[in-house]
Amino acid sequence: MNLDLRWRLLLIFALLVVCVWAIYPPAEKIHLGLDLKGGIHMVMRVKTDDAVKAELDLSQERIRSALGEKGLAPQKTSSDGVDALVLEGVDSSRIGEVRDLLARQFPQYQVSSPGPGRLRLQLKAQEENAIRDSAVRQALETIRTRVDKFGVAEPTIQRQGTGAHADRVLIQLPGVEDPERVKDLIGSPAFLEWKLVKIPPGVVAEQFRPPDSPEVLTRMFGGKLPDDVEILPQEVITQDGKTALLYWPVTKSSPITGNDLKNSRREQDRFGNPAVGFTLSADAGRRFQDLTRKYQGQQLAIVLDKKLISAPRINAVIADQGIIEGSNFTLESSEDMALKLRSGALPAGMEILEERTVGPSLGADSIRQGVVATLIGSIIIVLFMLVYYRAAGVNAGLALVLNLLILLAAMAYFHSTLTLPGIAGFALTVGMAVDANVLVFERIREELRHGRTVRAAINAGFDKAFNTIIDSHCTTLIAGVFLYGYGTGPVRGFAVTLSVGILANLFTALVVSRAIFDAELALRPQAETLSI
Amino acid sequence: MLQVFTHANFPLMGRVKWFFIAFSTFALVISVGTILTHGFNYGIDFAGGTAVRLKFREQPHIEKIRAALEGAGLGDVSLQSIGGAADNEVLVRVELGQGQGGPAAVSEGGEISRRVLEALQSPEDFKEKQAGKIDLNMITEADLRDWLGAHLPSGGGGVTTQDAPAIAAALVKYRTDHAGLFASPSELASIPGVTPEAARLLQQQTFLGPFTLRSVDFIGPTAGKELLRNTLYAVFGSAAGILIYVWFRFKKWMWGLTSIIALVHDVVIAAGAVSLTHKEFSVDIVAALLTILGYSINDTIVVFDRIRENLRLYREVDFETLVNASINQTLSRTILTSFTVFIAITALFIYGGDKLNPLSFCLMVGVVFGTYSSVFVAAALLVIVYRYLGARYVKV
Repeated sequence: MNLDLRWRLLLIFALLVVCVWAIYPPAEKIHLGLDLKGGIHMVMRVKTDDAVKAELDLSQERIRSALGEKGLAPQKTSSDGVDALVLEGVDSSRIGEVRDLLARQFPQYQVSSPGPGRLRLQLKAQEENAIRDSAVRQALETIRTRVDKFGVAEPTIQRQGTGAHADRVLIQLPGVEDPERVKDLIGSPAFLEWKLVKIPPGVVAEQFRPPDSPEVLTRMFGGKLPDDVEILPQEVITQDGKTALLYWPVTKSSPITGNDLKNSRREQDRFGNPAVGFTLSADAGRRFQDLTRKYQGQQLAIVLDKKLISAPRINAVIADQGIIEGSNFTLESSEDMALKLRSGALPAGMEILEERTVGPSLGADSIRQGVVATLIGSIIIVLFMLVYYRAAGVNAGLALVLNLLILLAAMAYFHSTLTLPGIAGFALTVGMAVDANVLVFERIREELRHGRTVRAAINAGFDKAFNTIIDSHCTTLIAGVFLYGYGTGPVRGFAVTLSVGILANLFTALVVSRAIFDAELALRPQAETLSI
Repeated sequence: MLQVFTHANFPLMGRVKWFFIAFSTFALVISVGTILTHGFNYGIDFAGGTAVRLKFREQPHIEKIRAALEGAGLGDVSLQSIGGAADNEVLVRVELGQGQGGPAAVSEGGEISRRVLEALQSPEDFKEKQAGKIDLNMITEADLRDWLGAHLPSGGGGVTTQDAPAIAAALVKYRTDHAGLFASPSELASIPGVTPEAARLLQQQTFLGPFTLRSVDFIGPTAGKELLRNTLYAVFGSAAGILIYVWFRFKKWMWGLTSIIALVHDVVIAAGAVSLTHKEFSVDIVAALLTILGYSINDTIVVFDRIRENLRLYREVDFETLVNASINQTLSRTILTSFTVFIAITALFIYGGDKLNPLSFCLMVGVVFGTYSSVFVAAALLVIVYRYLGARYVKV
């Protein structure tokens, strides 16, 4: 046995050891996709328009007061589209003064004047992008906090997409089975507000009952709502177990919001029902004290994400601690709400673009079926190769096993995820793995038929099949690479196993299989026949 | 020594090639026709919507389920049995844009699956739930652990609260191994790790719902559209990549062109077969088609390489005879290589479960036609071109 061959065999053996080491134990080393392990996969979009709009609303307030202080207040301010404001009825003679002030104090806007007495403030693209970007980043942070506290092992929460799609968030929670709860937990903004209930004129406060349609409520105000009042719905459960909506008139402004919270936790009300307890920051506590003193006897609405939870009557002065009661609270939902409030509000609403939940039983079935199919395929193929190529079939079988080991080891090393289509890629790799062997073996047989010696036939077989093998692997690899770039989730797993399998295949067919033949030749240097 | 063809010498490039060209044309016309008239049975990946997969304890009444769902105002609902009759699995699909009106914060995705489950709940089960019982077939492991923690005795000689995690894990493991369902309450007592007291408690205070949730998929309208666009990029991208490769490889453009025609032939027929059999057109099918694109050219390369080799060796031989000889010389390996792949895919088709069924079906068709086309499309076209256009286009 010559030195070169010894080195080659040693290298192959070392590779074998490294592969086994990389894979063992497979339960820890091979990462299963959610479609096999079970869990929730979600792609959500942060509605960054909300954040831009909030910024605009804030600016609108500040511009009005800044201009008002100088006696330059416009008659009307309104928003124009998502990212612009329009001031109307600006004093034409002092328009230069107004523009100066705007340029100085609100440099994030590009000011233009589309008509007399009108000014248009366009949010600069750079500023707008920064707002959107920070909204996504904040959302990501908030979701992370919420998921962490929910206690999921190995969650994936990451930003996805570029350019116009940079507002995507990918969330993967392995092993979580309850999608409804998760969606509520991470998808709702959880923006909490306290608002005063505005009783319609001519109604005795104690006798006010919210009607079940907003129109009726508007009529109670004489057909037109006051400027500072808005209508918000409340979900209630009726006697027969159905959900109904009641409409409440509340102030537009919110003296206290979720931003003023220092802490919140699950608690019980005085009847032992689930509720959410909260603690306000010191400053907000003082404001709350003033508020409750001033409006004692009136109803204070607690509003979450523009929906009224409850509207308790202020019976006593409250400082920095209190509880939120609601008829619909369960142990679970009050726990979740406390958690959401603790983690802070999302800067914008979320929209689910894609959601996939796989139950653990389906994943387990998929693994079983996929593995059984791959094993059956492999066994039949190896048996066929043994019958057809006899001793050389052993060679092909060894190459096949090593091929699968390298594939698994590569996946473990690169932390690739094995998915259900990925298992199909395995099965396909098994089928293709012997292709290269077939090409070489057939060529060797042909050369033997032409009367070549065993050694010459083996050399010629590998040499002549080489180009063909490279070609066939390259074309499949091209498709695999494009598939990887295209695919999301499970299909990407297919692309990975297919592509890596092909590379491993190239190695086993050209190096391993060759080394085994050479070893055989070295053992029987004078061989006149070859079992192929 | 076993050999498929020891001294194959079939006259494949004679008149018989016209028969196969006609057959291929026919198959192409049928495929394109079916795709154009019937289109594809787009899966949820592309069409968007909600798909809820349920497994029932007993043979589900499709009509009853349909009636219950229609009563829920979900709009167009399609129902489909999955797997064998004994599997009792049903896939409920709700189209996008139906039954809107969920909370604005979380778009319709979550809403629909919840409403499907609610609609399918029987009044008896609802009563059980009202009475505080839990559904062992739907409860999550975490909730089961909590429930057991609250219901097992806190002290005493037998099973206590402390055993709750172990018992919950044993129950859920058993359920997972049995496709997610307990078939009858009597099973509970025989599960290893569940003590008789715990089993008794469970039998008294829980019930077994008629089904379990296997999976839920929701795809919004934008995701489907983006996927379609990406699919087109991927298909054209890899086709271009392979085209360029083949171009460099064969240098003579006519060789490249005929192999590409064979390739398109295989992919179109595989897609046509998917359309014809109403297999769900999902991302998996795209993966299969791309794989065919990359794989089915292999046999053509084997045949063409041999033709070129022979062209250099036998300069005086008539081209048709030479191609015919080359095909016959490589016939064994052409068939063998495809055969091994075919075995692997067939195993997948038969044993791989329903989720991999469309993918493996599409691959099977692609591999069979890929082998066939390397001889009867690629090589045959080369011979035809040679006869009508002359050596200039074909010879090395």
